[in-house]
Amino acid sequence: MEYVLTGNDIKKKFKDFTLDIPQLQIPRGFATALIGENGAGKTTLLNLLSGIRLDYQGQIRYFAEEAGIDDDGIRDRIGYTGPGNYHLSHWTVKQVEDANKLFFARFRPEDYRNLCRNLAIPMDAGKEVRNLSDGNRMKLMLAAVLSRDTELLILDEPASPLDPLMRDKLCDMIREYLASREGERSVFFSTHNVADMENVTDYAIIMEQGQIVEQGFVEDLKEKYVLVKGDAQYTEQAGSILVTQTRNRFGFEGVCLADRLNELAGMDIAVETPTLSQVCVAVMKAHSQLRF
Amino acid sequence: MKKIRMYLLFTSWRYKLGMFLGLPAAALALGALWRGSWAVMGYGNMLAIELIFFEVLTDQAVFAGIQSKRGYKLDYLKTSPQGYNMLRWGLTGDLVRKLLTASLCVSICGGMGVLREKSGFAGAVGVLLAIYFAETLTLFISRYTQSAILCVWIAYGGLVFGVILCNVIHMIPARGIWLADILLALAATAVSVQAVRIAMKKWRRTYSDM
Repeated sequence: MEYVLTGNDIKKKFKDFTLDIPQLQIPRGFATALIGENGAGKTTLLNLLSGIRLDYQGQIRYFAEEAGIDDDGIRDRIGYTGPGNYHLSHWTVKQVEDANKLFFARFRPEDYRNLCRNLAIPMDAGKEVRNLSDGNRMKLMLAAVLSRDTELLILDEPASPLDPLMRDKLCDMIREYLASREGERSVFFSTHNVADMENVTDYAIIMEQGQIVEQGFVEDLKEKYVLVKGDAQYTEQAGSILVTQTRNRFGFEGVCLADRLNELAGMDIAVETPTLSQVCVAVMKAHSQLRF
Repeated sequence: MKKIRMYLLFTSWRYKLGMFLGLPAAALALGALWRGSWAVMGYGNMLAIELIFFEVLTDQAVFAGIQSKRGYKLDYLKTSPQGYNMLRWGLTGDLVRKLLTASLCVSICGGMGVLREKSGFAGAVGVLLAIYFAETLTLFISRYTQSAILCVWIAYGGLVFGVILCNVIHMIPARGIWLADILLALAATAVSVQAVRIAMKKWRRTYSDM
């Protein structure tokens, strides 16, 4: 397995939160989703990986040459989109193009204009970034970053401000990006919309409280965990075996490790393959500080 | 050329319109109104007030708080290998533009015969350098805050300082005016260099959350 990005002993301390990741490996040629509840540390991790924040302990290496973020040419090979003040608010769509020409050596203006048209981004001469909706601002960021010849995309919550149709389009764009270089390109994105992004996710990393609590290829995770449904009479008995469980007066539903399925023998249960969203929620619930 | 393009990208069209056309036009208009012998010394002061006050306030629109603790966290610039240079040339280009605008305004006034210094050309240069020095010093201080109200007070203090300096220039005898010009030029250069250096140092700190 080749990795586009590896991290060792990544630590970053805040007043009441610590990001602590002994090992991070992002497989090359795949779309990896970083999933976690609010405050899990996703944005903090992505800020470190994209080079926006440099104050951390540990080591992060990129691509086959295992270079650092400030080594020659590395930043040009990475595309990043994120929340907050991204483009200057007074820039127009044309000025974003001009800025990208200056900032990034591998920017392709023609691709940018085509993407803006395809994504229906308002291209009125005087329309400034500050007057775009959140969704259009995200589309503008995506158009800019996908117009560059990069090898790794780091996207912080790209789907959050997008409508369902645009989320579907985003999944298509990610697939096209990955397919365009036959395994040379990778995408690493954080998301809350696991259900919408599942069909483009190859590898998932689940974070809780600054640590990675589960990771793996989606198909492997769906074999590692199973969805169990059973009658109400078995609710208490099954509760101690399941990773998480939801109950009503008719029965229960929960996620269980496949290895422990035999412990449910003798109960009247139905077993199904869980969705990635169900696996993530179960894993997050098991580690969360939220009370259920 | 690339550096000029970087600077031009950094500022909005409203800013460019105001600074490249508005301020000189205002200087021209004020000069036309001021065309009277009783205001010979006063016009330099008026120019100081116009330039320092408006330049400092509009600077807030572009570089507000760049030297403050919260800093100028424009993440887009940080993802590019050119981001650091872009910001540095934005700051430097703007200082050069401010000097050119002040020069243009002083030239307009001199050409209209409104700004008449007893030391002639050297005196006019002294007024220009006095205004520019007061302007850059006030800017340097104002960039530590993102508060518009505080910025107005800082601008007010700056224009008072600028007016005082212009009056001092007017009082210096002709034989000493070039020395005053040289001292002002050195002071203005030192403040300008420091303004860019400190701003970039503070921006570099925004790579850290602590």
